[in-house]
Amino acid sequence: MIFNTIELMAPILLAAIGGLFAERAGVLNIALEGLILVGAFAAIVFGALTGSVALAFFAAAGASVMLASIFAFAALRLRANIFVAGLATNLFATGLIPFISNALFSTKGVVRLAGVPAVPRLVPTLRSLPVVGPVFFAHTISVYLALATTVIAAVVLTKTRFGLRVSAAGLNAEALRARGCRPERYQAIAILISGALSGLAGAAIVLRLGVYLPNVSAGRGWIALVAIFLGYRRPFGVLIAAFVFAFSESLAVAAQGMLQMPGTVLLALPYVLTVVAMIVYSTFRSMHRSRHT
Amino acid sequence: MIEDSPPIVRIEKITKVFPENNVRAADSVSLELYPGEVRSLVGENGAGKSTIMHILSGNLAPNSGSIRLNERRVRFSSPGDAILEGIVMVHQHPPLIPDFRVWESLFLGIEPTRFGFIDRRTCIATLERICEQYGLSFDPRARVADLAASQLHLAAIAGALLRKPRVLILDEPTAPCTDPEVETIFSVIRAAARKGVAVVLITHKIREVMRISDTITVMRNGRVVTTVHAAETDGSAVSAAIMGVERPAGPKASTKNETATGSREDTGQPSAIGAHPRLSVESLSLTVNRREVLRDISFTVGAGEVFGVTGIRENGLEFLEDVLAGLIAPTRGRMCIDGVPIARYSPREFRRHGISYVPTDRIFRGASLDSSVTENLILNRRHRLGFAGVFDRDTVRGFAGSLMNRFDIVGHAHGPLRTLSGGNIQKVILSRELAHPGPIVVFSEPSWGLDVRSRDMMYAEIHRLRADGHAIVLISVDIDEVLELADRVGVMYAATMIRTLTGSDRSRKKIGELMLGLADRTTGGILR
Repeated sequence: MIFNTIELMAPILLAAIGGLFAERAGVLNIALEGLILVGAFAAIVFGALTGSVALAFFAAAGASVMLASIFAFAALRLRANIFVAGLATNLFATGLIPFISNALFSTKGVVRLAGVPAVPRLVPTLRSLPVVGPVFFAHTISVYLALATTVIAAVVLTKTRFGLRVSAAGLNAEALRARGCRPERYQAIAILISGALSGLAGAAIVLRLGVYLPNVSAGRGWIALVAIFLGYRRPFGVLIAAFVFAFSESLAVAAQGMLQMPGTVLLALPYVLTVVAMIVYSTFRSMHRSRHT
Repeated sequence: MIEDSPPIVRIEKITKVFPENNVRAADSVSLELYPGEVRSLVGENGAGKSTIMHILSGNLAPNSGSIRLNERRVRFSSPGDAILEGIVMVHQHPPLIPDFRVWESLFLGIEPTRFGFIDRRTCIATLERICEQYGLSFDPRARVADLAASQLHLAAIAGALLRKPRVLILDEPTAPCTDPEVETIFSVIRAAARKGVAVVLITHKIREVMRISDTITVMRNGRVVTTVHAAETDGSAVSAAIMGVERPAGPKASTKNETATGSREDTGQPSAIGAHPRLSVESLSLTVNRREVLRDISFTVGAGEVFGVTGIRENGLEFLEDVLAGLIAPTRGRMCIDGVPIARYSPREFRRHGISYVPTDRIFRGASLDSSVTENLILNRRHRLGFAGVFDRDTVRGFAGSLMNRFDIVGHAHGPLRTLSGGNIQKVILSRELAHPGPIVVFSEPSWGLDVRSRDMMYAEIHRLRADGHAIVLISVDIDEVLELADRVGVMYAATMIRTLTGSDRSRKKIGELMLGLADRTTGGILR
């Protein structure tokens, strides 16, 4: 089950780290869900077209970056309300995909294409190690991609010029402007990063299945958004939060076979957990605040 | 001797009009700055000092005019452009990032890197060297939020020096500082000037100006009045130039005299001084963020009396306003109404005690822009305009309509307040507060944002309240306004009410010197 959890964690983690960049820059990226969907669709199409996993991932990131750039343009240049722009991006994605898929494959629903490559796993020899083998080395490359992204994000956010300026843009944009940097630039780049990583998340989801389903992201964009806050806006905190959500997801799947409970109730578990987590988080925060003031 | 070298900055005929209120903040201002000089820019609030320096530092775009740097025409569209040219401004309230470390905050925008990573060690070492060099005492590793206000200012100045300025602009750098900190800032200024930096100091403190400057530029009403060598003038001459007292009465003053007919003579002979006070403020002190912003302030106001409080902003007027409105409880001291101390400091409690309050910041503190004009007008009286919490429509309409008539408010009664002009929004709030005033009325800057006609109406209203026996506190930075309306005037300087002037003592010159900190507290003598 732990193995399964780590697999399920990969897309949530990727999207959450992406959203973390935007959040640090002071933009709450509620478009994650739509960005994941577009990435997922692009991954299936280009995976089938080229037969290459790498190209499928690239295409996914590219497609989501394009959508993210529209979001960034509306929110930063046209000064649209960030929530409205984010919601519009999500709606645009859910409308755009059936439109394109209808034009290309004459279906608005499930896109099943021949030749979608499976995501390879890491180093076969290490996998055969007892106990640690399956837990650490048997995963798909999506998992390692997500973990590497987390580490890189941690370094970039805390140790580089770009990371410092992104944080400054989020904490006090005017302070950044007074020092001669344009906060909008850093916010835009952060949104594009969240687009790219959400696209990868989408690819990680569908390439496991080998098929595109409508609403295949199943709210993972929203869960990722909660994971950002639950992880105290820090990359490794987000990692833990993403793991918790993935665990509840795999628990729900596993419990279906064991417990005498309606499957639908169990499958709601991750979402219930999301709500509970959000409440617990805000309670802790307000307690923390009142102690400090 | 400084003028022998060519100017580093030549500001030519810069004009800036703010479209929001149509104020001509800078009116064809020309100014030259020379390398190695310390230039003080002085003038009343709104004289245009900050405006012109914000333009020079790329924070504001001028409507017309040009800036030349070493005789080369430059155009700044952001502070970043100006910093690249070596023009760095330290704002009066530097924008801060409380969660950052001090070194992160100061190096933001000019971070040194090694192999793509920020070189933290170099940052801290550089700052420590600067601290040692100038005798600054902040810890570069501390969190910004943990520094005291004055320390933050010193840190912000250090941050400006990191950018290797050729022109260093300091906006009120000494405002939050104690005397030793002022000395530190002065030594930083002198050291920078010795290296050939042109330092511009925007300040209100004439004594400091006389000590530190090479040259002094006086501004008034958006224009440069004069530029003089500090060695060739003295404090009272500069103060006179700031106040414009050597000038015959301008058009502004004459309008006021015309409108004040009838009440003028009353003003000189207050009706109720000596009678027992309605409101008494007893040794009020207030500390905010470890800084004493009000120190031992006492005064009384009797029925039928206007007590004026004036001074320059940042000297405690804003905080006095907040205490008198019940928004902040004083740290020490108390307020009594008819001899009974007020137990709780809250706006509601104050209203219950019969204190009406007209805030300075009427738009944000006093109004709901998206509610209708009528809704805004009835806010204070809502419980009396209907039955059991349900409004009676006709009563409400009648009430709002009568107020709109009385105060000549132009606009639609049911339209959102936002759609009215600025002056009319002001009138809505003023009329609401003055419709049923309590026995004590606190006004802060009553004429701000009003045109001449509305202002005269306002003044007439205050005179009427006084005649009706209300006790009135008038807080205003406008000396003319205070002289016009108040029976007695308390002058604030550096958190204290340094003197209360009555009768013939209340001259413009005297008040001006007191509020600029030129007059000695006890003797009233002028210090040079």
